[in-house]
Amino acid sequence: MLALALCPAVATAQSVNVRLDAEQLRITAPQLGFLSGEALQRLRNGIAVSFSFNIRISKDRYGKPITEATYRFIVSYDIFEEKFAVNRLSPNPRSVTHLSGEAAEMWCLDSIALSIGNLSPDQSFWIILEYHSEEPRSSENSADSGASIIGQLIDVFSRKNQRQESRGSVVGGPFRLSELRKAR
Amino acid sequence: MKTGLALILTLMIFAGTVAAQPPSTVEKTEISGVSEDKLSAALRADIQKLVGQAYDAQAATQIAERIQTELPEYVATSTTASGSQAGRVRLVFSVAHNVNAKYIVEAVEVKNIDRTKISDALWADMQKMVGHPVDDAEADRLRERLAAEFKKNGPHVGRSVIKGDQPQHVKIIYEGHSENSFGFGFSNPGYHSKQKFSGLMNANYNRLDITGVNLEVMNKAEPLLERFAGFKASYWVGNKRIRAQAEYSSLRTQWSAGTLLAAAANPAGFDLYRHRNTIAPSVKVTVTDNIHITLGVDWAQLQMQSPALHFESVRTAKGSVDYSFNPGSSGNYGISGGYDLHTAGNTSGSNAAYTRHVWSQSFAFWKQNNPEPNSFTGPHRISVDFKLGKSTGSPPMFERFALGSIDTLRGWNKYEISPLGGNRMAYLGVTYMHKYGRVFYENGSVWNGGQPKVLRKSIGANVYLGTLLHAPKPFRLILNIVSPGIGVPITGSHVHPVITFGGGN
Repeated sequence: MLALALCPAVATAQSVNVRLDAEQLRITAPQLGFLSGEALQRLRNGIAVSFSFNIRISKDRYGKPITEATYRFIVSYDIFEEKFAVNRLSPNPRSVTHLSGEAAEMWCLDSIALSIGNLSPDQSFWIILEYHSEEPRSSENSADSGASIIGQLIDVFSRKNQRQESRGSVVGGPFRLSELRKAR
Repeated sequence: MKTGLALILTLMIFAGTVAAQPPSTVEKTEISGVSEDKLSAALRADIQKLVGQAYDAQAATQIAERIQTELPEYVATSTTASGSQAGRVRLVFSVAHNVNAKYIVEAVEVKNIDRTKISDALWADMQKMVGHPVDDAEADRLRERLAAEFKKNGPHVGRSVIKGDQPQHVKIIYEGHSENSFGFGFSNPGYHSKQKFSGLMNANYNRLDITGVNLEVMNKAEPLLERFAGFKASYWVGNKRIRAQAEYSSLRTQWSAGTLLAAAANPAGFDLYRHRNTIAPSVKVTVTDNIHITLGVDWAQLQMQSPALHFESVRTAKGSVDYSFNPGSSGNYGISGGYDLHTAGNTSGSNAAYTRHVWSQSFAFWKQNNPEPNSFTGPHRISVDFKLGKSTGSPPMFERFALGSIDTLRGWNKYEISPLGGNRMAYLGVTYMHKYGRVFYENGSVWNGGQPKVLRKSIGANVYLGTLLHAPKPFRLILNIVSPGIGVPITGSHVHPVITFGGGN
């Protein structure tokens, strides 16, 4: 249980579909639903939310990554038009507006690709996509809650909460390039 | 004919008057969110050419598109703000990561924060945002300053942007959240014409959603076979991901005449207790926002009333998972449910050895674009709920299943249909809810394994008096919670409806 609490990304792992697009791997994860919970609440309050996605390939599910990439997005929600806007900060900056929630999630995931690099056609691999949203650091994070045990507990528990709002992951595998090429 | 011509002529003159109104002149152009230096010289020059021209929305949009092409990581939009004179406007190109940066701040307000305790300098800086496009970075810097001013024993400050009173204008709201919060209320109030009143009062203290204390005082006839009265006190500590809780409860038990008679007549003998004290530590893990797992143990001490006064203990390990999925604002359905497992064995020193499983599931469908999809008084909402339960071994009375209360199988009385409960249970309810009330159809059965099942059915309705009477808030909510209702058992003869207040929510 403690492991679940400390490694929520593992706990929330869901299935992922992978396809080969030229020499790049692209994924679809319809159940990821990262625009939800507190992040969605912040967006509906007119505040932009930053999302960072890390995609990596490894030989096995928990192995060292062979190759990886990080994508950063900022999502906002037009409070009049009730539509989402997404800015991809890196790599290759791009922006898009007037999206529904589902379309905004899909646009982010469609943007994410990972080069197959030196993967041999018959080498099996796993693909892991992790995301987390971030809120700006504020001065209250460093506020001294007091020397009491309760105060220290509050400091310990609240420190992580205020930096990260939500996180999740999708894991899929094992895949082989040869099979993905046949499926094209 | 003449009248028609006159009308057309009048309309033409009116249209001509409107068309003749001069368009606003661009008094000044501004770029908000980024430094002008980030734009190409050609684009800056073209923006400058707009000054002194009649405002042209299409030309402004084209410039915004060119800005976005040069700065693709931002959203660029154009908007106008009042100029220094009538007929003049400021043309503002907002370049930002937040799409709301295209709106002009109409007002900056505080909520749950004492305005008089904000320094004049900070308040003045906050008001400087009025009349300009939303600047996320500046708004957040001011939020931090506000939080810093209330660092000691004051509220933590959140920020939101809401629609303003004027078109395309917004208000920035800074809202205080106190470090310490106290709550007090009534929960699950209800009345069943054959089981009488039930209710619970609670008080709670919460510090920063990190730790808290709850105290409940209750006298309830459901969901168990016994009426129980007493208190529960709990202390919890945790964060959004994991929460540990220790709970102590002391409950006095009262049995219905039907249960006492049935227990005395039962050859297997049912040991009834008069008091139940329980210590229950547990840990709840939030796997995702929609999935929670709870693990814990219950140490219950029962003061038995027959055959002679003595004490017995029941030590139970508990685990449950509950889940809920809602596709969000675009969807019109929700799924929720849970699985609950209790197990006790002699090896743990328990006087009772048993295992109890309960699986519950609910499907809800509501009208598209329902503004309050989770509200039980939504415009149109249909829910289907079912519950299955099974226990093996010898569960104590508080673990036996019962149906026929203000929440389940309304129209039936659990003390009449199954005064000792059962170790098997199946229930299905379908409810249609409208803002003025709800109607329901339920069926279910409680029985003992190996014995015949009797499926009981009922129909009924509740009226949301608060909505019906257009009562002002918060009386509307209170009246809706204690909604009067009727449950009618579907039987061949001798139909005796049950009158209820509340329940079934």
